[in-house]
Amino acid sequence: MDILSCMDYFERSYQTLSKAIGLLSPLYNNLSIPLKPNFYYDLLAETIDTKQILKIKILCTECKAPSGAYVVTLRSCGGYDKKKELKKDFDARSCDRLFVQSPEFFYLIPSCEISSKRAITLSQFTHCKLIPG
Amino acid sequence: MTAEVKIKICFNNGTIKKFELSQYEFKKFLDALDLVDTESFILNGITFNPKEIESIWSQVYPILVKYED
Repeated sequence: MDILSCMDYFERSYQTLSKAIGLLSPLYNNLSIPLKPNFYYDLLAETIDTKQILKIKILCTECKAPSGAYVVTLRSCGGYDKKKELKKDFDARSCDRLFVQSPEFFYLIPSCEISSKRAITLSQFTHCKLIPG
Repeated sequence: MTAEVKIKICFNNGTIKKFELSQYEFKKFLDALDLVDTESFILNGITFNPKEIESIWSQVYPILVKYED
């Protein structure tokens, strides 16, 4: 697999965000996007019945584990502080849902079901697959 | 005709509040955020400090499109 350039990465992130808005619009009320990029989550959505506001983080992956299942990295890497690269493990309390795009399916995973801090295998979350309406 | 801007503000303490602002109120809000020395301002009757704001979110407005063959 080719290494994505910085612009390719941003372009792909925007495409995934756009797909998330399209897929989640029928499921939630009042989707909101940030005026400035947010580190912890990318979309706010209001549940139709309880009006609860959910924080949704959006990720995409094309990486496969040796088992053949798609793997998505949860760990955030970016920026430097005193010549040391900043890396942050995933904190399940930082968002309520994880929207993941793989080449095959879309997933909406409750973050409370995620115990890993660095990466998850999507084959564990087949019950969270989103079926486009 | 008056247009409303629907925003949500996430605060540092984790709370999220919804606001429906007129275009004038939204402009005043952005101006207040722009000023370094703004200590507090009132939005829909709620007083807060810009430093308490973690992020500001704008509602996505879905557009219904009718497809015709």
